[in-house]
Amino acid sequence: MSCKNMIEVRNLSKSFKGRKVIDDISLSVDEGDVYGFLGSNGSGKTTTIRMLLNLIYPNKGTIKLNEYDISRDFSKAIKRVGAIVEIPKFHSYLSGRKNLLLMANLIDDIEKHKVDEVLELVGLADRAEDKVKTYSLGMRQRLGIANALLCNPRLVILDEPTNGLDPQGMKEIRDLICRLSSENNITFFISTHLLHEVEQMCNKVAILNHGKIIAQGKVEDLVNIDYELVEIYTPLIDKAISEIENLDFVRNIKKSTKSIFVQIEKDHSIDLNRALINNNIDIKYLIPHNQSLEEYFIKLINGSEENDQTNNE
Amino acid sequence: MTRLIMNEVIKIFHQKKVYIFFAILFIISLFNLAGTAITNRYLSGNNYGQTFPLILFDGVSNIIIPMFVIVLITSLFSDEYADGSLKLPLLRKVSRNQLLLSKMGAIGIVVLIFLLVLLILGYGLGISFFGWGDQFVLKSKSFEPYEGVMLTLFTYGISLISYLSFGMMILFLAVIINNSASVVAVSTGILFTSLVSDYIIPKAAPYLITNYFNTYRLFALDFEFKKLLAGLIVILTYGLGFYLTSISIFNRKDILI
Ligand SMILES: Nc1ncnc2c1ncn2[C@@H]1O[C@H](COP(=O)(O)OP(=O)(O)OP(=O)(O)O)[C@@H](O)[C@H]1O
Ligand SMILES: [Mg+2]
Repeated sequence: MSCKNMIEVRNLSKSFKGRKVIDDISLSVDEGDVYGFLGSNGSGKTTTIRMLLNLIYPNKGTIKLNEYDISRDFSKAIKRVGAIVEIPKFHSYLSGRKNLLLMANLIDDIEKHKVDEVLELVGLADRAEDKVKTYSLGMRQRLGIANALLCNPRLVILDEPTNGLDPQGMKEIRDLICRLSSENNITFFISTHLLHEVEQMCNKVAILNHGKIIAQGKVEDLVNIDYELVEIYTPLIDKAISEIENLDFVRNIKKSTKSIFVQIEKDHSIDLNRALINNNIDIKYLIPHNQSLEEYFIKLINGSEENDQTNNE
Repeated sequence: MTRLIMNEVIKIFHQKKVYIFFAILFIISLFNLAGTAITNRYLSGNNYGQTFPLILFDGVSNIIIPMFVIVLITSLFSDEYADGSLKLPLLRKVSRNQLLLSKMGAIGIVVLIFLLVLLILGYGLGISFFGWGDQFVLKSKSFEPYEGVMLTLFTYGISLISYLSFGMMILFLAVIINNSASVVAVSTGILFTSLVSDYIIPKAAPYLITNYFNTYRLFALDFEFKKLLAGLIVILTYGLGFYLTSISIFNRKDILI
């Protein structure tokens, strides 16, 4: 299978009233990717997605979807693309099914049972006849995903699709995305502020901070998985530090008020535990920290903020 | 495009406010019926079924139908912009131009239905209460019955174009003002100002779109082809001018909701 470019963004910038909100970002999403677009609140995720969908216009840069330039061939570019921008909005005075039927009217040669099929897929079939104004946020998200799937998409763009869902709902949506990606070979572009979501679903990621992409690449390359972080609770903090600081698998030790953070090479937590016990150090808790991308992310953001400050000086 | 227009029509008929307007129409018809009956009996009026559609139209043409147009446009445009559903078709293969055009097309269809209901109510109620009558007499001018029917259809027909042109003006307001309550307020203000200036400054009247909602008086009493042509030019200038301005603004607009 040749790797087709589903999204190609080059040197995109956007300002609102003179304030630069997106600053020269470039990214490319290949067919089959589940691409995470990670950034904190206000970093510019929704703004970027609006530009991808031609809802707002960039000040600079080009966007291609499905290899069509959206400023010239938008109707071709969007044909097999499904999308949600922010919280999915529908006509609140119509039922969920009626809303989808109206959208289905706008799709050429759609199969008859498509609406029921997507409602079934997102688990909304039993509430489909109710008016959308009676839907919970989670149900609106599902209806949004159902709508995005209506056109047999090759590419689906989702803006924080698990926003507002309970943990069970989040898991269902993530599983659905993974299933659609592997079974139907749909490419996904998903914005989120949740790191573990990227780790669970995505193979590639771009990290957005203050409108700039500060890192991008394969998730497995970005996440350094050859070490892990363990937090030790013990009454004998100083003694513990002096005993473990010379162990060869310990990379880094940080002392906090009640505990010690120890960075160790992968699969050495048993050795760490044994070393502490053997030296008669009582351990209250030994807590593994799932850090990886999170730590990487924080390090990057702190780094880029320091850079910003030095630039300003 | 037809499917897009149908979608908009379906949406309109799923909203309660549309039926409120039809209910108002029905109530006003009954009042007019009573009023006409009283005139006929005590003021020696001679209104018959064949004139009743125009009497009825007089009662709703200046305020009720324009308000209906304002409500339709704010609900299809401003309300949808505010709640974010306006962008739904734009995420399919629908251009912004097609979207605006289909909304106006749908409003045209719904206003046409409204006028047809009015016409049927007019003839139906008129004939069953006053009989067809042997002459078409209105505002102390009399016509042959077939001329009366033509005049009635002509007045209803021209009004549809005028209402659509008026609608384009409201569309323009809706595109530049995002809030639907403000659109209703400003449009209502413009409607009443221009209805009043119709009377106060007669010289301005030919240039006001409100002057062409009810063209019976304008053309029936002293018909001139030149006047009709000038009227049509004013109506179409409003319609095209406001439509083209709206679409050029809407095409450049950032859709942020
Ligand atoms: N219409 C607007 N006018 C001015 N500034 C805006 C407008 N819309 C967005 N912004 C600014 O652009 C920046 C990016 O906003 P955006 O909504 O894209 O962030 P986001 O990453 O989607 O955030 P969130 O996680 O909260 O959804 C913010 O600083 C916001 O204040
Ligand atoms: Mg957002």
